[in-house]
Amino acid sequence: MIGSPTWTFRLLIVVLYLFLLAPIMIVVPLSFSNDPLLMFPPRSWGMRWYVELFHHQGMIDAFWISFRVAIIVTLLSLAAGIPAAYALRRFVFPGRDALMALFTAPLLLPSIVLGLAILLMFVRLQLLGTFTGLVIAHSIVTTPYVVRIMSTSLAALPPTVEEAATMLGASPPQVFRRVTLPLMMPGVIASSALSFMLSFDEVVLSLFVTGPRISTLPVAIFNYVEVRMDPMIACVSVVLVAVTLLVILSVERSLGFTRAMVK
Amino acid sequence: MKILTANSSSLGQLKNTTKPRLWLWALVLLVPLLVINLVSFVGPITHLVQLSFLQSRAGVISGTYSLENYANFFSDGYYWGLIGNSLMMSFTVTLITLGCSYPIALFLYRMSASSWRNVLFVLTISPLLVSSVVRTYGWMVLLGDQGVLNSALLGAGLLDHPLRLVNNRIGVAIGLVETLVPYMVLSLMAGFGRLDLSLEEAAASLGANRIKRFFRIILPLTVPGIALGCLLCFVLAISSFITPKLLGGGRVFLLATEIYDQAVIQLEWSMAATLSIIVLLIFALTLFLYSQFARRFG
Amino acid sequence: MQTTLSQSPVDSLPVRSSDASFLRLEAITKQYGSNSPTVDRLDLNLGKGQLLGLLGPSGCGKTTTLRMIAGLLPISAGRILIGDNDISHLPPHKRDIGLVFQNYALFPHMNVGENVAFGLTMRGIGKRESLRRAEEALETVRLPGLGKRRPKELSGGQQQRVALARALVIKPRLLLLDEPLSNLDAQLRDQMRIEIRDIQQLLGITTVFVTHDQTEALTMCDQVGVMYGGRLAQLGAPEEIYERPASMFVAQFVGRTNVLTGEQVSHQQVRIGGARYRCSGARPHWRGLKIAIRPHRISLTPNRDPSLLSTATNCVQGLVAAITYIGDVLQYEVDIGCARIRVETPTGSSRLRYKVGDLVMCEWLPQDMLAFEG
Ligand SMILES: Nc1ncnc2c1ncn2[C@@H]1O[C@H](COP(=O)(O)OP(=O)(O)OP(=O)(O)O)[C@@H](O)[C@H]1O
Ligand SMILES: [Mg+2]
Repeated sequence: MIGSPTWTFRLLIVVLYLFLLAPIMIVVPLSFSNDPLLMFPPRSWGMRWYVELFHHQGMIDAFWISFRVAIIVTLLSLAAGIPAAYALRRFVFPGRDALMALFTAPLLLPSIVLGLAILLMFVRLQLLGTFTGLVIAHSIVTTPYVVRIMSTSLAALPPTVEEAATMLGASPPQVFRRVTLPLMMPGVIASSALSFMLSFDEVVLSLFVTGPRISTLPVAIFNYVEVRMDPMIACVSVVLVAVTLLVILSVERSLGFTRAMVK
Repeated sequence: MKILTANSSSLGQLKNTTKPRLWLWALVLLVPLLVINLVSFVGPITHLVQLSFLQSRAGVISGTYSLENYANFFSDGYYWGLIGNSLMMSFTVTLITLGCSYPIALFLYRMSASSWRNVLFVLTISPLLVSSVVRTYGWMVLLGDQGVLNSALLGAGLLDHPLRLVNNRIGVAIGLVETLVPYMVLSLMAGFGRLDLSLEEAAASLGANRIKRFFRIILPLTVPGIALGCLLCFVLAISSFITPKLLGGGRVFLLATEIYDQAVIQLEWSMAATLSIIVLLIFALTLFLYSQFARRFG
Repeated sequence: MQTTLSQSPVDSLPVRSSDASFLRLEAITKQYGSNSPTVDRLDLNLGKGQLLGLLGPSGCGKTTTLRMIAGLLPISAGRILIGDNDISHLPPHKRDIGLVFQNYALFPHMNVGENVAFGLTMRGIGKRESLRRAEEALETVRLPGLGKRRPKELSGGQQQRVALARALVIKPRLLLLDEPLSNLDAQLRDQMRIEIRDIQQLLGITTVFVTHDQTEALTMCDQVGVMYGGRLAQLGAPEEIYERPASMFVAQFVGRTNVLTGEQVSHQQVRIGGARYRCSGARPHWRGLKIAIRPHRISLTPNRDPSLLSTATNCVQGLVAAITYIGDVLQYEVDIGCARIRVETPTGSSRLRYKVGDLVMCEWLPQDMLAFEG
């Protein structure tokens, strides 16, 4: 039949998916190895490296830094991105398109260039190796997505609904809280999830702005695997993937991840 | 007459009160993001451009504006080699990515909407959701000298010494392809809109076999999607850093890794800045070529 | 239409005499940028409890006017008064005006009950009490027991009623409706028309009703305002608008009409294409003369010698050129030499029917000829 895949084609697809998913899937069995060195298949199984991981102060600290940075970045990008998207969608003023372009431009820049630029700037501002520096650097990656998602979800919200609330006696803050915000909720959830994941997984920018005193989890992994290969990183990876999965699942539960991504 | 004066006065009043207040509101709402944008985008980029025209030694910026860095760059064969390596790598990787992604995209596009399709779709883009360090680590484990693949092949007696798959360009290429497939698949699927089963049926009814149908009907129709995907992947490949750094094991020299080394290890900031500008110029050139192509075929 | 017309004088005459106006627009103007004004020094008075229909071609500024009254658009000049209060610069949420939108604008994240109760909650009324009154309001619009549904789960007509209930439940001083029926099918529209009118009368609420549809305006409203190019071309009772249009534009916009070009002969006579007709109303200083005659005011009779006819009526001989059957009326196109006029007669078996090519006499009363300059 025309358009229906042949068996060779199906086989090709399976092989391609194996290739695509192999590096993610391999870390799971590996993390349960009890061997002192990386071996496959592991000679002995157990939780040894998880235990080791939970005693590795560097990784634990890095995890909490990453977590806190991601939370604050998410809050900051929502706090800055939602009002900006609102202003860009609901007010008419000259230079609106230019501003929109400016806010989404960081998406187009390679992160190696952006990372270097931020490094050079932060040297001057003495933000290098600081928590604040990390937060600001990550925000420039997350805010373009927030602005984009929020302005699409605002565009889908007819202004007459807000006007209807006004006519029923709601003051502008009440309109925002009772009507605009609830209707933007799917966008808000999608933006938060995306911001959190982007920040939690960000490596390149972090490599530039972290220092010996402060490190995020991906940077700690990066530095670790540059010198050593043992199953502990498999355990960290599993934790990292688990956090990602957790975020996706919670979004899925609240509105359906695929829908959020498509929007 | 009386009405007219009343009109003009209330018009004036409106101009003085209502409009500035709206402006003020918009400004208040925009300021937080503007600040973030200035501090970590506009400011840094301006500074970067500036620095590429200055000199720096060991983290101390000095000198006056000149084209010295650019002159050094273009007169040094080492940097030309870097450009060559990067272009070659990105080009190869883009082609392989296209080869891997096309079947997946076609398969997903043809699949009727079902939960299976959603699952496969999420699996396809899942590399986007998993940290690049994790995936790179996975490849190191898989491809290393004592890695999964080599252990298996050696154990089965198919090889007597391990295949060298990491710390060289092969490893970097493999890692990059896997990273880029999701982007390519998404672009291809976005460009598949014109693909219609009835066109293939028509071709079949005119006597075209499967292979002819692919090369004469499907491929030409999907050229815009291919072009878009290749643009995206090429640009991403040339600026990618984590994969070449880790899977190259310090033995693969590309523009992106050089920027990092110059900036973080050698503290040659102005050279790093110059290299960044070169990367951006390559970006611009690629975009220009794409737009020319798109105008002709789009 | 006929029946309503015969009723409307009874309705409208006492109302028109009420000069205690409730809503007053004084030369309100809206200007976008430096273009010519969209609404241009519009004056309007509306008595308490009256229903005003704003009628006019697309883009004439109806919505703009309504939004200015609502406060959603700042006025460029002029004043808006309700009772004796100048509300020109009051923010919309303090104006206490109900507004029903063309697309209903129900809150998609609230159920029907919460939608209707919203305005009450905004006025600080407790949740339970608000929901109780919302349910009452839903009964008024004949939607009892639907409070738990989402707006999406309702039909267009039901959503329309919810929007109406939501606007009415706050007991606004003024109700504004912007083409509230234009998304409904013809049958539902007829039904909703009556319902809106009934509710409006029941509550005695002063209402402005914007519409495209002249039948809607003529059948529902106490007053009809015909807008043209940002100005009010005429304001009056439906019958006045229909029978005594103030301009050729109104005559043509409201109801069907024949337009003939003529010239004035004397105080009592005009000439159209060589023939003379009795017609008053033309003024000698006019630069041109246009005559409007409604198609159904012309009657057709079999061809006779004109000299036998009464001189009290106007008549002209013509040739039936085309016939269109429109259900309740037959429309004849009659060639009278200088022009082709449309004549409408009610369909009915007892009536005489003419064929294409028949010679007929067209007759009409002098007062059915409306003279305008132009
Ligand atoms: N924001 C705006 N800027 C400039 N011109 C506008 C704006 N809004 C409306 N207009 C113009 O004002 C005029 C009147 O618009 P309005 O919506 O009041 O017409 P309307 O009578 O309601 O028409 P319709 O029957 O089609 O709804 C139109 O010509 C429109 O182009
Ligand atoms: Mg309108």
